[in-house]
Amino acid sequence: MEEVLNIKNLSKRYGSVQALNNFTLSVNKGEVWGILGPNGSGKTTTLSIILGAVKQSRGDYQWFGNQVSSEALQKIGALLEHPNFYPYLSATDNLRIIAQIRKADNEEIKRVLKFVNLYERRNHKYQTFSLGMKQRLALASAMLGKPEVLILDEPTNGLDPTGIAEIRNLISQLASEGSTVILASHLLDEVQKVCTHVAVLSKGKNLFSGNVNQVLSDEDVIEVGAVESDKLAEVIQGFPGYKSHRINNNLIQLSLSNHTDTAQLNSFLFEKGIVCTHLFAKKRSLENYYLELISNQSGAHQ
Amino acid sequence: MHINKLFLPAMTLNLKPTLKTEFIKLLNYRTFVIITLIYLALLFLVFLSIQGFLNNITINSGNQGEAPPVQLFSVYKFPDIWQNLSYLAGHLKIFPAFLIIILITNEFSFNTHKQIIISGVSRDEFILGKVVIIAIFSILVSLMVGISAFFLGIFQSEVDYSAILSPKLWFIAAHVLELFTYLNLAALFAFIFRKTGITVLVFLLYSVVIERIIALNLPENISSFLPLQAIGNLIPVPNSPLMKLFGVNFSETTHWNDVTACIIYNVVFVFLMFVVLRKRDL
Repeated sequence: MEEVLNIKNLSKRYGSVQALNNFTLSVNKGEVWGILGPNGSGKTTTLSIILGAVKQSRGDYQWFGNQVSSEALQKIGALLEHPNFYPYLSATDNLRIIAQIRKADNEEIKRVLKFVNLYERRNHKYQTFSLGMKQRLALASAMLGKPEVLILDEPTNGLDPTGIAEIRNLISQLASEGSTVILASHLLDEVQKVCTHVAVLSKGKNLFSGNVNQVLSDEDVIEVGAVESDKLAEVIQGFPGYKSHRINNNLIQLSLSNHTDTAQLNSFLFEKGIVCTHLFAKKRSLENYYLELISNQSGAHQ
Repeated sequence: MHINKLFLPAMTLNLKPTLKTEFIKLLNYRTFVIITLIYLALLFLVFLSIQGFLNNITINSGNQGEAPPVQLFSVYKFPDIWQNLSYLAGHLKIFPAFLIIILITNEFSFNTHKQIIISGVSRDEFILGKVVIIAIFSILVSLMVGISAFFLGIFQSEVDYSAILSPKLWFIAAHVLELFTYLNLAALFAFIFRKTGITVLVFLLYSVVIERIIALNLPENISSFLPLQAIGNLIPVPNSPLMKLFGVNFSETTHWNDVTACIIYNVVFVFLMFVVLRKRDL
């Protein structure tokens, strides 16, 4: 497989804050990566570094097997943090500027404006746009010049549900055409729906990176509830295959390392003198997995 | 560290797209267009009114009741007009300096420099685009000064046509260099300070206070090579009859050492812009 981006031991320190710590990642052509993490976990820092906007403190990265250059950047469409345009220029003029750099023609400006539904407003000044429109214009500019790689930092920020659905379709469409996409988000649902791969960051550390399906099919989560919930939490740790648990609204979210059917668990608990008031096998969602990772990490720090 | 990366411009520079983007930005920026037009109108107005102003001084130059010690003289006489008006124009260069500061600090306040650079313009191209715009702007303004001088000159009652083509025409070229160097200094301040207000303040402080203090503490043969001094020396004060009254006699030509100093300053300013933008995060 053709490697598009290779990140090796990337670190960034802002004063006393370690924004990114030893991040390593390899992205191949056609993959759709979701970089997940709470606010301040290092997602934007990572994207800023690989776009050459911020200098790393340590580590290295390569695009298409080379150091970053303006030629490489012309093949990468990027939407970083907030949309940045000239407020006094119209949507079309703002895109004409990016089109000059990326060698796109006027037809393409029209095409991307229509795609993000801003064609009717193309001659209006950027400063008159709402947040959602600004975000859509930023997407349009990222798509100019048919980039091989698309980097999107929180692309659904400020969009309404229709807009969010459109972005999802867009990403899937681009991926099916062979584009590589790197998407940073704190919206898990979004990542689960469009990404083939996921990397989880927390406090600058990479907690997990790999295939989404792997995460989702690996193991199931069982939700258990009992009157004596404290006792339940204690007893349940003795169940064969126990991995971890999380308490949520008096219910215990139990992660197991092997597939277990609920009947087994029920009889185990009954033998220990606990009667379940709630027992529910959930298909594991990315959200469960993510929260588990994040809570494990903050637990380890305490 | 990567010495080559820091001190040599990138090997492949392609300024064409960068310049096209600059033209889209400038021609559609109404504030820029209007301030430029006001500046040019102001220049012309000063050219028109200077004669009356000088006449006034000349007439009042002697003691009350006596004949003025200096004959009335025309500012618009060829070939002196070339020097007179380009010298005068040099006194208004603070306006385009503010304009250049606004243009560059705008990029930082809108964060568009980031968008432009991550879209595939190198940092060096981004800087050189601005420098070329400054060069074009300096040439156009100087052309305007030259054209104004030409017309003001030939519309006088007595015109010495043989004096139109004179070595003093070189003062128009000196004005290009004066404006270019001065605006590059303003651009360097803009790249360093990034915020419009702070840049304007520091630039004014440097022009009005700091360089003068430095100059006072240096011997004159050195202080005359400080940036603003060297820029100001390019076009010497015209030796009008009024000036002779004060017993001073200024040079009639631009000196090569001032030209050399300004060219060196331009290289240094652009080099420092490279260093500032390459070293910092966007």
